[in-house]
Amino acid sequence: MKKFVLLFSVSLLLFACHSKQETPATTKTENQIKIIKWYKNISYISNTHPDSIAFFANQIEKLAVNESNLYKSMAFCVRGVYFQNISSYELSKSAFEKSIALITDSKYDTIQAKSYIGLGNYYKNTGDYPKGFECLYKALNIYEKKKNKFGISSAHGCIAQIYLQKIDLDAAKESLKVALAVLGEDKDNHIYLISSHTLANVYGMSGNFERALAIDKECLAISDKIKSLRNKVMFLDNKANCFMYSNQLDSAAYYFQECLTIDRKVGEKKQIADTYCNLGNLAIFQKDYAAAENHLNLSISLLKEINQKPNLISAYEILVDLYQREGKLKEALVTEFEKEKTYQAIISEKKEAAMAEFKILYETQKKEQQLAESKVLLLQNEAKTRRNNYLLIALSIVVFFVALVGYLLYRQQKAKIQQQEKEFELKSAIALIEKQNELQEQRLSISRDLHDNIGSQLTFIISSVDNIKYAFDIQNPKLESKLQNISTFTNATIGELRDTIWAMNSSEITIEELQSRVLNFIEKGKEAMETINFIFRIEDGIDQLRMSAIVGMNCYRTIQESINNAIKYAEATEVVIEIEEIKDSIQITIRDNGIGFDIQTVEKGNGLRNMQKRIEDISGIWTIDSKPSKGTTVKVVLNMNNLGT
Amino acid sequence: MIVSLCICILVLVAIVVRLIMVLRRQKKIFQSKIKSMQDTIVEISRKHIEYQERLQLADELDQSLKSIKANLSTSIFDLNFELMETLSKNNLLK
Repeated sequence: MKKFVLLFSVSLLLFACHSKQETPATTKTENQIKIIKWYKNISYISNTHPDSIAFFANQIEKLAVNESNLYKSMAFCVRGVYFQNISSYELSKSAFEKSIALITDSKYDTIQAKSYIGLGNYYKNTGDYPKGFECLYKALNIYEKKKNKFGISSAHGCIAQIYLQKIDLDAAKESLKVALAVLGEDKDNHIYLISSHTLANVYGMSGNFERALAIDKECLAISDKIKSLRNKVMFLDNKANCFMYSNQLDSAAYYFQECLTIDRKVGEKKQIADTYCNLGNLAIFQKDYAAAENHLNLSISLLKEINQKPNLISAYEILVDLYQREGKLKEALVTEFEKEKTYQAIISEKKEAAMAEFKILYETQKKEQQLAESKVLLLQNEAKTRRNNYLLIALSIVVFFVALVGYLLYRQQKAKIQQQEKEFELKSAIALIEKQNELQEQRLSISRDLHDNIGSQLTFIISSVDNIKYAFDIQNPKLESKLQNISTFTNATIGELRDTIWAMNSSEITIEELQSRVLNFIEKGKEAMETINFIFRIEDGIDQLRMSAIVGMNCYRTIQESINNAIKYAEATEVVIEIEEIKDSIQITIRDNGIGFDIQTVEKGNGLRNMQKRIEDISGIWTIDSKPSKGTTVKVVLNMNNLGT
Repeated sequence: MIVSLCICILVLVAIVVRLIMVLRRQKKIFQSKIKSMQDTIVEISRKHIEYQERLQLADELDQSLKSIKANLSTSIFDLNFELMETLSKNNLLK
C-alpha cells in the first residue's frame, strides 16, 4: 500500500502540470510552442507512457537551452517529475528548486506551484514533513489565488498523504474531503483517483474494508477508462491489502503479483519496493517466513537505495515482527534499532511543532487573505453604492431638467398662443372701433351737409321775409306781425344751428371759448332787454381749462336757458354768471335778482327739466335755489375728471 | 456613465437658460406690441367718443330742428292764410 504514496505524489505533480497553465502572451517560436505543449502533456504521458518521460524531459531540456528562464523552469519541472518517477529524490529536489528559482514573474507562478508540489512530495518521501508542509502550503496559496481547482485539490491531496504517513487518519480524511469537494463531479481525472486512493487507504487502515473496496472498484473502472496503469496499480494494491487483512490470502497473493508485474513494467523502484514489502507481509500471514524475509530484505534494500524513509520504517516494522515470530530476537532488536533510528530522523518534537506552526501560519494567512478580500469587497461595494448614488442623483437632475425643459417649452407655446389670442382680440377691437369711427364720420359728414343746407334755407327765409316787409308797404298789422314772428323765429333757429355747429366742429372747448359764446348770447339778450345788467366772472387761471364739446355745449345750453328764464320771467335787473374752481370741481353759477319763485309749490317746466337732464347726462350736479323776491340761483358742479378731455 | 450624465446636465442647463431668455424676449416684444396697440385703441376710442358726442349734438339739433320746422310751417301757413284772407277781402284774387 505504501508504495503508492510516491505514485500519488508524482501523479499529483503530473496532474498539476496538466492543469491550466499560463504561458507568455507574446508571439512564440516553434521551440517555445513545443516546450509548452510537452510540458502540458507530461501529466498524460506520465500516466499512460511512464517510460517515455525520460525522452520528453531530454527533448524539453535541449529545446530550452537557448530560451528564457520561463522555458528553462518548465524543463526543470519536467526533469523533476522524471527523477521523482524513477525515485531519484535528491535529483528531483534539485530540479524542482531550480525550476522555482527561475520564475521571477508572479504571472507564471503556477509553474512554481507545480514545482512546490514536487518539492513537497520530495520532503514527504524523505520524511521531512515540516518542509513538505511548507512547500505544499505555498503551492496551495498560489492555486487558491489563481482559483485552480485541480491545483487546490492536488495540494490538499498531498497534505493528506503526509497526515496518512503520520497515521493521523482524521486529519488526512479532513484534507481529502476538501480535495474531493473541490473537484465536485469532475471524476475522470488523476487527481480524483489519487485522492480517492488515499481515502481508500484511510478506510483500509481504519479496518473499514467494505468502504475501501467500494472505492477501489469505482476507481479501477475510471483508471481503465482513462488507460492509466499507474492509477490502476494503486487500486489493485489497495484491494490486495484489503483481502490480506480480511484473511483472503489467495486473492491477496493474486493481486499483489499483478501489482508487481505492472510495477516492473512501469519501472519505479519505490513501487517495486512497496510491492515486495506487501508480499513479505503476506508471506508472514501465510507463515512462509523464509519468503517473507527475502521479500522484506529486497524491499529494504531498494528503499535504502532511494532513501524512502517512511516506507523503510514500515518495512522494518514488518521485519521486526517476522524476526519476533521466528524467535530471532537479536535480529529483531537490531532491526528495531534501525527502525527507531530512521523514525527519529523523520519525527522529532521540533519538527512536529514546526508542522503545526506551518499549519497555523497557513490558516492565519488564509484568514488574513479572506479578511483582506472581504475588505476589498466591502470597499468595492461602498464604491459601487457611492457610484450608484451619484448615478441616481445625476439621473434625477437629468429628469428634473428634462421636465423643466418640457415645462418651459409648454409655457412658451402657451404664452405664444395667449399672446396671439390677445393680439387678435386687440386687433379686432381696433378694427371694430375704426369701422365705427368711419361710420360716425360718414354720419357726421351727412349731418354737416344737412345743417349747412338748412342754414342756407333759413337764411333764404329771413331774406325773403325781409324783402316782403320792405318791398311792400304792408299796412295790415296782423300780417306784419306774422312776418315779424317768422323772421324772429328763423333768426333764433339760425343762432341755435350756429351754436351747435360751433360745438360739433370743436373737439374740445375752453372756458374762454364758452365765455365768448355766452357773451355773444348776452349781447343779443341785451338788445331785447336793455335794462338788465349782465356780469360774467371767471376765476383767474381757469380760462384755458378744456372740456369736451358735449360738456361745453350742455354747459352753454344750461347758461343760455338760465339767462333766458331770467330775461323772460324773473324781471331781474342783474344777472351774474360766475365760473370758479372749487377743490377738484368746476362750479358754474347763474344768479339773478329777479322775483324768484317757491320751488316747493311751482312745478318744474320743460326748461328746468332739460337743464337738469343735460347736466346729469355729463355726470354733473345741477341745483336751483329760488325764493320769492329773492331771485334765482342755478348751480352746475362738474368734477374735473368728468370734463371729458 | 456619470460623465455622460454630467455633460447631459450641462446641455440641459444651457437649453433651460436659452429657453428662459427666449421666453423673456418674447414677453418683452409682446408687451411693447400690446402697448402700441393699446395706445392705438385709446387714441381711436377717444376719437370714437368725440364722434359720438358730435353725433349726439347733431341728434339733439335734429330734434330741435324738427320742432322748429313744425313751428315755422305753422307760421308760414298762418301768414299765407292771412294773406289769402286779405287778398280775398280786397277782391284781388283772380
